[in-house]
Amino acid sequence: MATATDASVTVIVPTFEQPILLARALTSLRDQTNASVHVLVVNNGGDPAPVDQVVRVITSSSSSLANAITVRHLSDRTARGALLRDAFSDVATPYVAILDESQTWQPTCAAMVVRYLKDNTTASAVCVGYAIAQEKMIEERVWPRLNKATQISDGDVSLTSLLSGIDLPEHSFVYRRDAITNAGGVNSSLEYVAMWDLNVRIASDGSIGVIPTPLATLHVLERTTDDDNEHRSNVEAERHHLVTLWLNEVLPGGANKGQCALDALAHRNRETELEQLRTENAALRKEIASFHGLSSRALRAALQPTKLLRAVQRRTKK
Amino acid sequence: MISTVAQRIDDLKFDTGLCDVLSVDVFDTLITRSVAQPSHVFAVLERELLSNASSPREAQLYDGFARVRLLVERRARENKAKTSPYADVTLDEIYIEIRRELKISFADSQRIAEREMALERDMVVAVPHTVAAITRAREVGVRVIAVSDNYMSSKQLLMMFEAAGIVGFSLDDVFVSCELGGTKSNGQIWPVVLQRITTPVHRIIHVGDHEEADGSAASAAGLSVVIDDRMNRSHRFPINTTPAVLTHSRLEASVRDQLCESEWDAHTVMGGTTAALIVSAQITSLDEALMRDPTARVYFAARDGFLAHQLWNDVRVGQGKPRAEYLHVSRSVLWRTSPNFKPSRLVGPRETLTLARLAHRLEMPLLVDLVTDCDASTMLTAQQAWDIIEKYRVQVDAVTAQHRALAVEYVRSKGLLQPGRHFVVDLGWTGSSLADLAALVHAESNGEAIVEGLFLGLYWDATHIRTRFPMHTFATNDMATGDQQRALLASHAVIEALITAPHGSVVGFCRHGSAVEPVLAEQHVEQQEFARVIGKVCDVASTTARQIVTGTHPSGVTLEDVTGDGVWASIMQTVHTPRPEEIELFGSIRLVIAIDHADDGVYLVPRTWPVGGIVDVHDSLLRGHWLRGTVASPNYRGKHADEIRSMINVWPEVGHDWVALTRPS
Repeated sequence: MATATDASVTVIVPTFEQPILLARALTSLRDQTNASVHVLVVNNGGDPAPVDQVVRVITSSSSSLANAITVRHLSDRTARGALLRDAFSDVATPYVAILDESQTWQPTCAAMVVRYLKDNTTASAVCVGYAIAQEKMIEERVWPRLNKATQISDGDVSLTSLLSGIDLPEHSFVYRRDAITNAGGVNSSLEYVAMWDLNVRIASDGSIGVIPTPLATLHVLERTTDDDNEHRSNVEAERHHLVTLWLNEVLPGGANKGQCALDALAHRNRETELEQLRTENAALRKEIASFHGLSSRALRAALQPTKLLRAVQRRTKK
Repeated sequence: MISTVAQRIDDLKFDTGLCDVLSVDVFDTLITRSVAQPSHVFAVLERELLSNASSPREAQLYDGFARVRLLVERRARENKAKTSPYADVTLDEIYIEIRRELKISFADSQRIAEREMALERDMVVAVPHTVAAITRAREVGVRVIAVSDNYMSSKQLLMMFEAAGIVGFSLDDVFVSCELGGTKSNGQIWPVVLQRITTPVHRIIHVGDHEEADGSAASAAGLSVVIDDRMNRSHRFPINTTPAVLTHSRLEASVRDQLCESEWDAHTVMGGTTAALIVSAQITSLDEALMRDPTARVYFAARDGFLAHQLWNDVRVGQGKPRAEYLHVSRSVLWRTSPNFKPSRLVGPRETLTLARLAHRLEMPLLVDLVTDCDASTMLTAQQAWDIIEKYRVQVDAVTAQHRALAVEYVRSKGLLQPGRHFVVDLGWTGSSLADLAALVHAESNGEAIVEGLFLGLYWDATHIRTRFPMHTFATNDMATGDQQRALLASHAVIEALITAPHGSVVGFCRHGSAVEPVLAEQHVEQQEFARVIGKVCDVASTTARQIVTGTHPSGVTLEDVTGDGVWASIMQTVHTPRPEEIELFGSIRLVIAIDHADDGVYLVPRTWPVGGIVDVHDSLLRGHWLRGTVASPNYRGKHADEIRSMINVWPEVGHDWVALTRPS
């Protein structure tokens, strides 16, 4: 039985009032093969009873997770940064990861990341490939909608890419516990971009490896546009605030951290715009080509009506 | 017009003096592979590449190699056709495309190509009836040549003949399309062959498995032909090639070899492959569970666990494993054990039933007298039935309490209330019935007995059940892609129909002396279907599963090969991509799905196309019938082609490419 001391990876599972999704996330951790996992469930101010019920079901299951789940009920809703900082401080295993209640890992995820981090001793963390599963929750039922694959490369976890605010899901990263400590831990004042901030600090101190195989699934519940917009604007506001603070910091090479982030962001925005333009251009060319084809056919038909008539007859016969 | 001179190669007579040369097609006529279809060699190659990968990046590169190999071959042919319309593509040309596609070095592509050829030699098997025929031909002085449409060189084919133990061929006797500038399909190979062998065309007999290439095209060139397709009857869609399919493929190749002297038999194919693998999966999932907790008690739920239960007690008990109980439980009886059960669980939202049937279902004959505004034969909609249940809730709950008391006694007699863990094996699909059983056991044992479900597969309706009791899955689950989950739902009716028991479903419990016994619904339709089709499939499945479990199957497949992915691939090969004869046989099965098992059931392939728009049609086929059997059925494939195409655009599981469903696009 894996316990907090003999497990390789601690997975922190923050949860709030989603017992069904929590049960699924914990099942995906229970089903990890060839790896000993310790789970720290942090109930962020939600009703404790359903969380306890889910944990009871998972621990009553015959698996190595039976004695390897710790539950912490927070009496009040806590900022994510503070929650994670506290949770990280309790980790006794060499590796640590975050898995939100709605997310899942493939059964081989833990074993592959542990092997990678053991083989690549210079990597401070590793980012695994992931798939996106869009879902809709109707009453108690979770309906799958669309699945999308993502391509992840070394470039995505470079310092420049991370500074530009590239959107990588938190649960696709697994860290060395020491790397988090060395990077100064999680900024407890942040709510939305705490892990982005941590990833940037880890990447500026060391390197983050990549396993391109999709080992994690990012389950995205359909939300209303208003909820989505509100969330996005909160993230952007906090990101902006952080970048402003970074303008007073220097990276190990001597460059201004905030300026680097602004440059990287501007570069990424330009790239995105260019990509959009390219797509639009291609669509336009296609339209012009089809219009050209249509108009030249119409012109030919007007100039040579007999040929048109014959063509129509041929087609009718066919 | 094909001038066929015999039905099968065995019927050919060579001592008449009318034939000087016997020309044989190579693949699936003279030789075959130890897998069910040619493309599966690429799956073996992919498996090798993945296991030899030195880094996750390299593994990612070769993930899906088999499908890439198939697609680039097609592309290489198209490219070749632009410059040489009649010539066939060579292996080198295919690997130039592989190099481009995967962006690998020349040396790597050469290494993989060589490995592919080595695997072809390792996996080749001679076709006995063709070898016998060429021996007979040679005995009377008839020359034997081999003519193939292929990208492999004649030298490679010769080496494969040697590896298969076929002797007597030289390079002068082997003619391959990629070396001769024409194929059998386009007829351009024959002038070259005829020129080289210098035998009058009317004195040559050609034998092959392909109606067009070996039949009409060869006939048009003036040859007498024999079409013998016994060895290609195991072919399905080549695009579904992935390492996971190999266990199924080896079993299906074994069935192909077993049936090569007889009529093709869909019972044997289904029983000898997918059904046997499902039964074996039930055994292996219990083996794995007992490794997690060796002290647990074990059970197989009726009726899905009937075959595995017998096999377990016959094979595993002697090996020191605990004897398994056969548990007569079903949703019919378990849903009513929970107080305040939802009426919608007893009457489905689309059901209509008479008042008498509702009373019977509730085990409340008095209900007919209680309800005064209609009589026993009045047809009720689901809503009306639910209203009646709610209106007479007090009486219904009283009956439910009696029913629950009997159920408690029954599970106690089976040892389920004893403290400790109890593994229950069931097929799936939401786990709700076993969740009710778990709740009953938990309540009656004061939480000292824990029921744990071992399922073949679960789909999204199982996610919320995960908060109720521990569930494990073997082949697929609610964390798979939505497309894959829908493919499970689309297949579950066939699995449910075929993996079953000769007895009826349990619909209640009764007291018999001091014991409580299950009441079984012995439905005429179910008995009829069991005698007609299902019993034969179950017999073959039982025998094959026993061979797999005991490691004596002729294909060499053992329990180690029975993995979750492998069983899923097998379900997809037969249930998702059925052959025409399988659709005809299994599509005609009537499956009784009503909770009281009191009607004639529904045909797996409906007799008429469902009414409504594509959403209604899809929903009806997905939940109540055999979706892929229906859309691939000759009755509907042509007539409803537009609707089927529209459905594929929205729901990929309506199409045949099942490998794509397992990975997000």
